[in-house]
Amino acid sequence: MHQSMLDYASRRYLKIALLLCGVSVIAYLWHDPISPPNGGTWLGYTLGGIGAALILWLTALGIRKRAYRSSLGSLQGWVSAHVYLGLSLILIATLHAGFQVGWNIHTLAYVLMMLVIVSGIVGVVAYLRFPEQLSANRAGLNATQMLQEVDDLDQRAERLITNLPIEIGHAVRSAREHTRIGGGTLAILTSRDRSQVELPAADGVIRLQGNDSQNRLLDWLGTQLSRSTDGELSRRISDLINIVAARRVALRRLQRDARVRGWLDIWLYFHVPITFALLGALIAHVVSVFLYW
Amino acid sequence: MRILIQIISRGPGGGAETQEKIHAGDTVTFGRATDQVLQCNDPRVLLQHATIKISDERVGLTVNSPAQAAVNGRLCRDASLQIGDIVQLGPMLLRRLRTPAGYDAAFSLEPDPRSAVAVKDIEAPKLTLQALGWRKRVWAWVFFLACFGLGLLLPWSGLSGDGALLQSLRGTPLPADGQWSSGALHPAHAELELECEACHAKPFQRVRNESCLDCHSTHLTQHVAEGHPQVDSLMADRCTTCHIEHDEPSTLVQADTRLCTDCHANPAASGFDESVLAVTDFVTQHPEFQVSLLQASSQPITSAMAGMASPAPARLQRLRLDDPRLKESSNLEFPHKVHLDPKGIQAPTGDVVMGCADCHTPTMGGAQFSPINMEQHCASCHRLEFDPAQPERQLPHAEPAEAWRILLGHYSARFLEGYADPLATSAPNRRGTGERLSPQERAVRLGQARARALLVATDIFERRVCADCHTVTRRETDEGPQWDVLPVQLTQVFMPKARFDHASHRTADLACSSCHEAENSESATDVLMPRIESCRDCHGGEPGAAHSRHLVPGECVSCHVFHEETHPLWTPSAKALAQ
Repeated sequence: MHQSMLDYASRRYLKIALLLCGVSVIAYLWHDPISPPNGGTWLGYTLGGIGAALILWLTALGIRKRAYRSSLGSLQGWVSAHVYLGLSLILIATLHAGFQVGWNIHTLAYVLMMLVIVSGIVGVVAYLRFPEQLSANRAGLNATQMLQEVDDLDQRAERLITNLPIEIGHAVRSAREHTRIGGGTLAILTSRDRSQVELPAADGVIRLQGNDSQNRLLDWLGTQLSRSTDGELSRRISDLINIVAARRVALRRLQRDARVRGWLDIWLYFHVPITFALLGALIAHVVSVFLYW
Repeated sequence: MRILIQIISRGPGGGAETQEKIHAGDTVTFGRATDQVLQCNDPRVLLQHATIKISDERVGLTVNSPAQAAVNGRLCRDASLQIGDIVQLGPMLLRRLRTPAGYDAAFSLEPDPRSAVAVKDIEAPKLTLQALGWRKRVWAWVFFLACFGLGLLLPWSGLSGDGALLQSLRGTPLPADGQWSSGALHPAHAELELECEACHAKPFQRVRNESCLDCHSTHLTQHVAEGHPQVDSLMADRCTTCHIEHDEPSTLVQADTRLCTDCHANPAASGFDESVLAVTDFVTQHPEFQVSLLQASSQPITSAMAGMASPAPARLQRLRLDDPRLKESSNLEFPHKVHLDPKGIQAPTGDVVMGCADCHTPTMGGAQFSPINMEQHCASCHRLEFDPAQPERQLPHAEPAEAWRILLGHYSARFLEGYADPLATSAPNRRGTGERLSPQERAVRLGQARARALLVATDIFERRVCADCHTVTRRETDEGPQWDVLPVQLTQVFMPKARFDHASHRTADLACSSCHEAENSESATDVLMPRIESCRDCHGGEPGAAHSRHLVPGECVSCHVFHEETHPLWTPSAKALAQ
């Protein structure tokens, strides 16, 4: 049975993270330094050391996940610990700073760390929610198959329209040429369909018109079907409508797939670069503190 | 059941090759999976794409969603196949053939020549972030180098050399070393906000005391005197142990009690003698207040000293307020109780009700009180007149020899003039102007005058005027009697080791008598300083401690200073800097 990374090993790393947080809070409350709490007291140095070590170790997940031959714990265990210990950093770093913030390199490192954690939370939510949607939507097809399905339908439509009136052929070809799914971050993440089709407008002039989900083309083909008096022509139009409808389903599947994959991917495009920004700021933070001791 | 399947494949030249496969069973499966009866390794085919179920009644085709089949060109998922039907299954064409003898059904399967168009030729829509140009690695490097370079390397590189580079960097919008400051400096140090090197003299070296002494050497004092057993340990302390900067809220002077009690909780261990008692908290463990009492000089003001501005210096005696020896010895006879009689006291101008402020006038700011002196505070009642006939004539204060000379001169003149009666109750034996007295008569009159002066002086010195306030002793000399008056030396600052601001204690319901029991003091030897208990009515100890709840918190530095004015700098480097 599938086990979520959050439930890995009876939530061992949740317990460890909670223990770490609990000990840190108790130490912070018990600790009563002469100055206001800050990173320069012995507890401040201790929490800072733990925090920095955690950040380096959390970053090492990027190395561990590429080390396929590694026997250093299971990757799922690493991810589970990565999530829980990463979340514990919110508390440890805040206590390390003694709730002091300002416009300086130290708070920059803190803010970057928080951004990394927030993007990580988005990633965890995405990974808990989307994979099920992804496989349900794909219905056993892989990415290439989904594209080929559209391609197949296009070929079938192409064969059909050779025996159909020229304006129908033109409309179907234009719909294929002006199919616009994806192509932009927002379009991927919102499943926006900017497809168009060239159809005669109300004034009879052929114009490019919005064809979201191929609806415009289907409507028009439906009108053509209702106007048709020739049985053979009606049958062919009906077949064409079936193909276009199937194409619409296939396109929607592609879009949904792209949207889910987009959400599964996009947090990482923030998580990783900001992590490296954090590493730069963290080094600057630690070194500058002792540079101007 | 026996089913015959002809699998036709076409070579590159178009030549067909047929393989026959006989399947035993009633179900023919078609798909990409290896367990399928008809396996087709084409990506357009699902793992389980379609199933043909053969029974006696019909040959039924079922296509698994989302795949579709075209039976004789018509799209469907379920169909009953007749002989001669052509089914398009992905890239393959399936025909139902006439059933040969000995079989229950027959099919042929061949590639659909029309689906030979390469899928790869068609441009796929951009459906992934990767395809849109999103990159992780390049941004990771850009961000890392930006934070590392601008946050550390750039300002650090400015530190090398004479710092001129850093100075010019501070003038640009680029981040300089100011970004390393973890919090604003105390307002007192605000001008150093952009001059990090004023305190952080050398990289990777903690702030040194010398940096502080650059500015603070002239007025800075030490906690103890040179030669104190704790000098070495105090020398090891750094200024920044107590004066911590860059914190928010800014607390340049740390009030924490522990900074003092580290040593003072166990004074013996720190090398103090037994007169120094342990302190841990103002409420729970603080010795009774100790006062510095002036021991007024016992050397009297005599004729030899007449005219001197100040008497011999008084000694200071440190005594606790619970010490039985506690006694002020100011050489003054003064009962507070008499002066504060609520019914009033007799004065030349009638009965006067006196208050504390009549004599104790606050200094500027109200923290302390001005010194008390005879002329300002006593003389309006305690007049030094001696001749009722001439009440405007007064003797000088604090000059007994001069007073005697004045008395002698006054009465000599009066007796020579014939005013024999000092109280002027009888008519003077007035003689005409220019009448000369014989030497004998003159000697007689001067003798009478001297006797009168002596009488008056004895009265004034020993009974009536001086003796009211002073201790006077009479001394017989060859030249006649002399009176010795002990000098009055009042303690001006009782608690020099503590800071107390009277002004901040002037509240509506706090009278002087709340702390100073003057109304019942009958002797000038009473020390009217309040005991520690009366302070504890309002003042607690360490902030946050249970016993200090609802009290004004009191750390050590609320009353005491660390840098004692009386202890000049003793560290050699500090001395050198001060010079």
